Amino acid sequence: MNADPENFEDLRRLLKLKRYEQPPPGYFNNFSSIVIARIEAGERGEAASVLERLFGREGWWQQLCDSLQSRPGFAGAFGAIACTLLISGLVYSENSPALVSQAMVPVDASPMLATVSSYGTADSLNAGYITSSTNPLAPPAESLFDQFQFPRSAQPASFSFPGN
Amino acid sequence: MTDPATGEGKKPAPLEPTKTTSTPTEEVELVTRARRGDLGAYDELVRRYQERIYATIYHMTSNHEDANDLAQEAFIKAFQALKTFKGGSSFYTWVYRIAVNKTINFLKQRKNRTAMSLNDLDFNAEHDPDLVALVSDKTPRREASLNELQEKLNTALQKLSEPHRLVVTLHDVQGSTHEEIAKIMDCNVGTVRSRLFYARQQLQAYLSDYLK
Repeated sequence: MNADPENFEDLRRLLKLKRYEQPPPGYFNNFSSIVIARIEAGERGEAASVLERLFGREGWWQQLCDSLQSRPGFAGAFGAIACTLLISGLVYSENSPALVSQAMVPVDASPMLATVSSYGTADSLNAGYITSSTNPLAPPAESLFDQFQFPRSAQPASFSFPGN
Repeated sequence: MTDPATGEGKKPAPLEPTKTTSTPTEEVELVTRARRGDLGAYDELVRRYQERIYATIYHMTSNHEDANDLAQEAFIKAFQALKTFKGGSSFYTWVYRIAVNKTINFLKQRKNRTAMSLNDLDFNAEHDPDLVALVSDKTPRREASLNELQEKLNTALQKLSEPHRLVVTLHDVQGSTHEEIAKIMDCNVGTVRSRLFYARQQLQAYLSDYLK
């Protein structure tokens, strides 16, 4: 069956067959509804994602975990950075004992702290009195009338209970 | 074609491509409303063109599921891009371009996957005199022969390049004019004619056993 290369009538007749190929019955009944529903869902999703970006519905830890799970490369890099920080922290702390010794200064070494601490130590309790002050740094009032002239200034409070 | 009201499959005249009965003014009004976010207006636009858009994509892909997805996505993308629609062409041509571009991109990606999922033939196909004449008298069951022809025809169409398949689909299957196709494909009429001629030649060679 040789067809004439210039005569496409039979071919066009055969191509008519394509017009009879039809989707399942009722297919177009819901087509537009599905499209509209998908558009609405997309708009809602878009609004939700904007809110999420602004306020972060998920916690940062959850987001970090999610991103680590989805990107193995990122997880590896994150692990490497974490290990580097940990190791460098350890090395740094071992190589700088001066810092540690400064941080561990005894209380008595500081004169101001020593003064303050002496009030509440066991020695002072054993001495037979308790001294307390709510604001030892405030200037002491010179007279009883000062408190009326300067009602907002802090007042020294000092109580002693001898014999207690 | 189906009746949206009853949900029954009704196929009045599959040989005549669906023509829209709306006036251009009516369409412009619907597009303006849809652009403002009126989904009711857009629903009306989708209903008008859904069958032709779906059919074009289906004939290009020979796969119902792919055509379903792509047609929906084309309408969704068109809605999202509605603000960029300048009105230089009709909405129909514009949405058609979106659908065609989407389909061609999809076909390029699935290059090696050619699984067909063909729709059933309409009952009226058995009574079409042109098709009856094409069916071999030696075939004991005419239905089987038509189905075989359908498969061969789709296989042959899938062998064409996307632009050639599109021209044949739009012109010989859907009945679009050369001018309409030129607008959709954004090329001149001469290119459409030459592509159509080449595509027909190719198809004729592929289907020579089934043509008298």
